[in-house]
Amino acid sequence: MRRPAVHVDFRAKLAVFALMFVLSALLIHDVSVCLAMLFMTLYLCAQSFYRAGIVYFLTGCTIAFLRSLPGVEGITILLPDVLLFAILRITLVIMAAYAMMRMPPGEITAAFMKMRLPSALALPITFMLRFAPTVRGEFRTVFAALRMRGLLSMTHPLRTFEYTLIPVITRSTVLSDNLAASAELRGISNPGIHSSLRLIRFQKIDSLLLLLAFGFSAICLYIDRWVMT
Amino acid sequence: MASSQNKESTRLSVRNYATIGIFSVLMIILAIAVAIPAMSVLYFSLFISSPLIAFLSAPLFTFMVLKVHKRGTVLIYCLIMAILYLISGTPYLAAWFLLSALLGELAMTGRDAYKKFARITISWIICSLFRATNGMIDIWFFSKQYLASGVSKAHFNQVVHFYYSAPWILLILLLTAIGASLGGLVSTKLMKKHFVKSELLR
Repeated sequence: MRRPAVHVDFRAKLAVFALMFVLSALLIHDVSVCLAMLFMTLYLCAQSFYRAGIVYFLTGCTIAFLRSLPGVEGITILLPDVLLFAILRITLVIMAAYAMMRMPPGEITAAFMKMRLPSALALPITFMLRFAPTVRGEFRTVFAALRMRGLLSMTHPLRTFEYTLIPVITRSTVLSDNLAASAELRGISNPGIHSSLRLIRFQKIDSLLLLLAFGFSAICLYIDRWVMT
Repeated sequence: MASSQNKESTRLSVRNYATIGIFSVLMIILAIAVAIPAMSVLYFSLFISSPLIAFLSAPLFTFMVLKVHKRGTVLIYCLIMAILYLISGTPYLAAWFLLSALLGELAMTGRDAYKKFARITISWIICSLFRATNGMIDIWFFSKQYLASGVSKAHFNQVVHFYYSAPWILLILLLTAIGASLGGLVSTKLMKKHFVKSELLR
């Protein structure tokens, strides 16, 4: 029997996301970033996102290894170290965002309502989180159709840009209308008090997770600033 | 009855929020897709990245504004950006984007401004210029942290050389404004050619 995943409250996930964002900007050494990634892998695995956790962690370790190789230092114009530096830190942030993007939109909306965030901001952000994981698929479908028709060409960049962008806009419009209709059907614009089938409560596990996240971040910063230098 | 319906239609609906959210994601992803590879080439990241993002994202911004065509669209788009900067631990950039939200929305004041391509382009130029200055603010006010973040000294020196020179800054901003204007021009043609003709936009 499969063990049920740990349920983490949206607000705790948001706090972890912000923490990782700040950490990615503060950490200087790649080893400490990889250490933070290890924590995020455990965090993702605890929520049953095993594949994503392991893939992102291995990607991070590979980038850190490439940066450690001699000869990849930045040279005036070509700066591979800056690129790898950015990708490594962005991967850490993506790991934190992944857990949020995989949440049911209804739960995010309910959490935002509990946070008393104005609907003018809560609704677009909810739709953003719902849409973000599908963007890659949208572009892939459009590129596949263009490739099949032989319309992908580097010799006509503007035409390729037009042929790519117009279907993406059209598909996104249809998707946004469908998502809005679905939300309307569930009574999202009802001015009354909204109820949710899901329990939106900051539980002990969320407090424990935040404590661990802050503790691990402090360890990473300590290693980064005092042990590595 | 009719007047109450008209009054209702000026407010942003759930459908409008969905459009703003989804097109904001597309613009953010497009910006990341251009900015990250640009980091590996210094002059590209300094001079081409921002104008290119302004050019490529313009049709998405124009479509979003025309589709919603209600007051507050630009404001909410910029506020979303400000929230992202706030979460990312750069509250100074969030404050900077609040100013962008106010100015971008101010450019859209007046009757039917949300349906005029020229006004939308002006608003987009404002948003793009604010985005182009992000890197400069990092260097001007947080240069120690920037250097301490692990970037090579060679890269830092080059960036400082350009970001502390008024003519170079003006050139970067000018290129961004040109990129956003050209993007607005191309967007106008694309919107008329595809979406106005098919009546997806009115």
